Amino acid sequence: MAEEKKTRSYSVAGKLVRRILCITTFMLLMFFFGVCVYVIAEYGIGVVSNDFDLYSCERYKNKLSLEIDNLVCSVVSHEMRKNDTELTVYDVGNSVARTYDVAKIAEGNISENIEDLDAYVTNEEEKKLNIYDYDTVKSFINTSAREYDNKYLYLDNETFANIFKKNGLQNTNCWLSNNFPEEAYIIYKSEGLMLRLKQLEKSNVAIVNSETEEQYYEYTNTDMNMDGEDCAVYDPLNDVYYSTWDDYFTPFERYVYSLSELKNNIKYSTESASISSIIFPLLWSQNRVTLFTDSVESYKQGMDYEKAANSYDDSAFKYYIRGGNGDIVYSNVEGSEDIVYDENYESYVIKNGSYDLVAPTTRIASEELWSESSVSEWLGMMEVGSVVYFGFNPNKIKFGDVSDTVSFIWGYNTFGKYIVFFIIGTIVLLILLVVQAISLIKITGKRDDSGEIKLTWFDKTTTEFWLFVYIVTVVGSAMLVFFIVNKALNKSSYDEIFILQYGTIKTRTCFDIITAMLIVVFSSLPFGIFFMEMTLSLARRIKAGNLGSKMIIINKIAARFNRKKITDKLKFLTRVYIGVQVVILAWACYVVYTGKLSILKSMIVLVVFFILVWLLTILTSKRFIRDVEKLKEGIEKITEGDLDAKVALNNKYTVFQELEDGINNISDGLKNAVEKSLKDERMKTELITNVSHDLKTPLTSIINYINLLKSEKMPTPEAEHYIEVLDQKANRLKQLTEDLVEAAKATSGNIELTMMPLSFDELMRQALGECEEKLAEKNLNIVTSLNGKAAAGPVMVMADGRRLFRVLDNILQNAYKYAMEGTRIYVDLSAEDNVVHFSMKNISKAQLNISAEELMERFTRGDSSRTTEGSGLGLSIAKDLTKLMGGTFNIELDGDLFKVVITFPEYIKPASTPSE
Amino acid sequence: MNILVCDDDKEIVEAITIYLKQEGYNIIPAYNGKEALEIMQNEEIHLVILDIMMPELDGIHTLDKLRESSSIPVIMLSAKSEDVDKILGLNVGADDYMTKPFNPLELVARVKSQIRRYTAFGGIDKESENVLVNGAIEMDKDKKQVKVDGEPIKLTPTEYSILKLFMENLGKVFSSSEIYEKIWGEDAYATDNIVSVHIRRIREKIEINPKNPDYIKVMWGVGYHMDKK
Repeated sequence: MAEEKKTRSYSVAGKLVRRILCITTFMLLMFFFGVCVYVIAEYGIGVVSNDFDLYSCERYKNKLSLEIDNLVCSVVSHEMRKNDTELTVYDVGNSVARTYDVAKIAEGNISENIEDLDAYVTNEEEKKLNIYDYDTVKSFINTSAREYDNKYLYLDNETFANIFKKNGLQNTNCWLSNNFPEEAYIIYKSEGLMLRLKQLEKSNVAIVNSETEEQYYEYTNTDMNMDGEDCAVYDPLNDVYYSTWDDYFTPFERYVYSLSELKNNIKYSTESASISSIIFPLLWSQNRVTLFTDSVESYKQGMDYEKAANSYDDSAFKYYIRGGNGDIVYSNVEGSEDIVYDENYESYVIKNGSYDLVAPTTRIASEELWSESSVSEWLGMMEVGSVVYFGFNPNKIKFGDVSDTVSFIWGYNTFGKYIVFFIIGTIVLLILLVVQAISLIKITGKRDDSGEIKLTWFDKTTTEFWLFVYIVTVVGSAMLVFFIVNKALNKSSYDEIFILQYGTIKTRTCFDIITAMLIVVFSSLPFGIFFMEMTLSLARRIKAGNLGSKMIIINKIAARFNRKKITDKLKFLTRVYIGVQVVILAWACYVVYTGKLSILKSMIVLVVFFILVWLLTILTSKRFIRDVEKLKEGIEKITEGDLDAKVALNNKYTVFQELEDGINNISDGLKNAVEKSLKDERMKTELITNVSHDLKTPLTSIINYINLLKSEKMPTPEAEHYIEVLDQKANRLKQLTEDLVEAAKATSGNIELTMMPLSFDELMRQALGECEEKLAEKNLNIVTSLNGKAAAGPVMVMADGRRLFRVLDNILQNAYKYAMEGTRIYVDLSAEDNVVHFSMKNISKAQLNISAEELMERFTRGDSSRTTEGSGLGLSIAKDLTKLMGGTFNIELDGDLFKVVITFPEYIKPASTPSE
Repeated sequence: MNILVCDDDKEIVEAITIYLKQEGYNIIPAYNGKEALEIMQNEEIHLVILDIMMPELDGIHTLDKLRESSSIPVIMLSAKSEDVDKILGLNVGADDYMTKPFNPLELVARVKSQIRRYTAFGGIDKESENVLVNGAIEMDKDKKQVKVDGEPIKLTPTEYSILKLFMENLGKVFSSSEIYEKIWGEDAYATDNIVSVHIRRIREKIEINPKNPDYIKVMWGVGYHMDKK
């Protein structure tokens, strides 16, 4: 058995390997699952079916459109930058436009003093701008780009304050209030529109497009936290400007671009040889401006940033821009524009103020890529006669190329196409994980040789602590999944493609899916280990059965009722409790997963729910346990013999009420039965006593008068003989009466026994001493032998001394009466295996022609003549008494050998050996 | 000496009367408790033999009433042979308890013993510290003589030593091996029942009814002891 056990227990190394395998499976599963989620979120559920066409999907078009936008914008701006030698700044407060020599500034010979910049002024002219007027602002914004080309407007803080008078700029993270008049403007960056605040009924505020009156957002005034939203408000009535931005690349704040900062930025930009990147974001209050970046340049810089510049291959793109004067201003292809025409490239051209699809129509109609506004915008920006060619070959996309579209296509080619494989892999891995988990659960918490379950310190902590850690783990991993999904679903990912700082572009790259998967896989390592250990700990707790006893709430209840046992038995209560917790947990995970509530709110809800469940459990279980307690007490009372005990429950649960009635009925029924049997018993005892009394009284007279007669002189010797016979028979009658009563009581068990530990060998000596001489009369020799433990010292048994003596005495009397004269009587006493054996053997003088059973029956004696003394009850009484005291009594007959064997369980208690 | 014999069985009363008269006692019969109590008030009685199950007033109640005013010896004589009955009788105030059917000679002996003790109460001289007294037994250690009810009895030296051990340690229980070691001065042989035999012989000499001993009592399976009378 021990060997079998050994083979079933696993070595520490074996367990460790199993765990590592399990974790590995979990990590793989997370990777596969993560890919599935990511791909389906990115490309839609249609990606699973085979007819999914990446190039016709809406998101591809959007991304490509964005790509082209960026490129065209950058090309246009690039051209502009080339001619940029001067910088014009409008001082709106003084209505003066100053033109600076950029080249000189870039040389960096500028002191800290702002006024020093004046030295670089090449031109200064008066300009009238009424910025208070909405229409003027709008037209200024709309026209300035055309009108002033590469001239830019800067205002210092002081000037800005002058313009906006009074309170100046309130650059705070303000809450929009309904105190804003309707005329207030909202510049909403993400919409790229000049919006107007519209007062709705009650306290609600809406933001509407001032041109189309289209409503965008509706806020209650208290809910209008614009923090994080790219939004600013100008209130023309009060001349107050409100902004929620911190950075300067926002439409209105561009005006406050101070000269000192200009100075610094020019310095910085000189190093990166890209002055344009400082000034591009200016003036355009519309969204396109933020995208108006040197995309290609940014790619390169981005790649520098990623230390991957050398490997950059932009062969997926082809662009060719020719200025109005016929110069090629920007291109990544050598030679003529014809080279752009390649049937592998989706090619587009902007030419002579209109756009056209030039190259073979590969997949997407050009109309879907070119929005009216952007085209017109760019067309407006371009010199007359300029041409832009743009080609894009999705098949040339490689891992490592940096671009939103590149990432999108690479992601599809790498994962999206094989989504079915990943789904199947997920399922297989899940099954594998379950199998491994079950095997681990089986192995853990095995009982060792001593039957103990090995528990770690964590297993010994309270169940609540386990639940807490478990919840943290579950919520944590739910949050992780949510993060990944959110990342994939993030609609605002387009917005990430804008300049953060001077030309460094932050785009979502195709690294992102890899990064996301790496995060998933490596985060799943600690979570997986936690999950596994939590689950195994739960398994061990259940196996060790301390799930309930380790639960504080259960112990609290137990302490309240001061009955640990009963609460231990209420295991199902524990299960209900845990069940409810798990349901809540699942719900919480769902909430966190769907992001319906913020983490904080869901945590609060979770805590509140836990407290509610806690209270509910305490309340219900209190009443519940109280009832069970009462039922238990009732049953205990009845068991202890209190038949008048009644159960009365406080809370009438239906189930318990039935039990209550049942228990009360049992006690009634028992009471009746006991009363009846008591009555019977009493009557029996009374009968015995009465009969014996009635027999004894006349017998007394008979014996007395016979004795008197004996002292008288008899007339004849015959008379003396008759009296002798009378005397004999009277004494025999006396003996018979006593035996009869004794036998009746012994049979009915109607004897009060005084059980105490006593030494069998001492009693045997006493009994033999009492009758030795009597036996000697008949020349019967007693041979005593003590064997086993009895030879060494006293052997103790639990018995009533007087009754046990009676047993031995009866046996010896029996021998006296029926043993053949001159023979030996063998008496043996031995104790082995906690059993005391007593045996007595003698040779019967009469032939034993009856069975042992018959011998023990009443009124049967060794000889059937029944003439001698003795009632024939001796053995019967001895047998009954022995049985009453918990011993056995057997008679064995072998020819004329008569053997009595009495056994008693040995009483073992070293302290009580009075014979010592 | 006046002895009141109270039993509802007239034949028994008569038989007892015959036996006791032979010993020279004056017998006053009564046939129920009430009668007995009335006689007690009018006559000078030295000993009462009382049955328990009687009409009118039973023995226990009679004894209870009797003990309110008198301390004369009372021997209960009853067919009730249960331990409970004996204990009850002795507790109520009986000096002895005999069960029916009884040996008339034993009854006579017990009557004699009770009367002797009653009349000699306090009269036994404790002549020296070397005289041990328990109930009717007197043991003179100087003379190595033992008297029961004033009658000297013959004991062998071993029997005398055993009795002395009990007399000197009233109430203490000795197992047979302990007695053997103390008297014979050597380790007891386990199978030897010589002590029990000796004790039985002592009992035959000092007890009225050796099978129902008053002095050296057996605790079956434990040992022997002598209680203070």
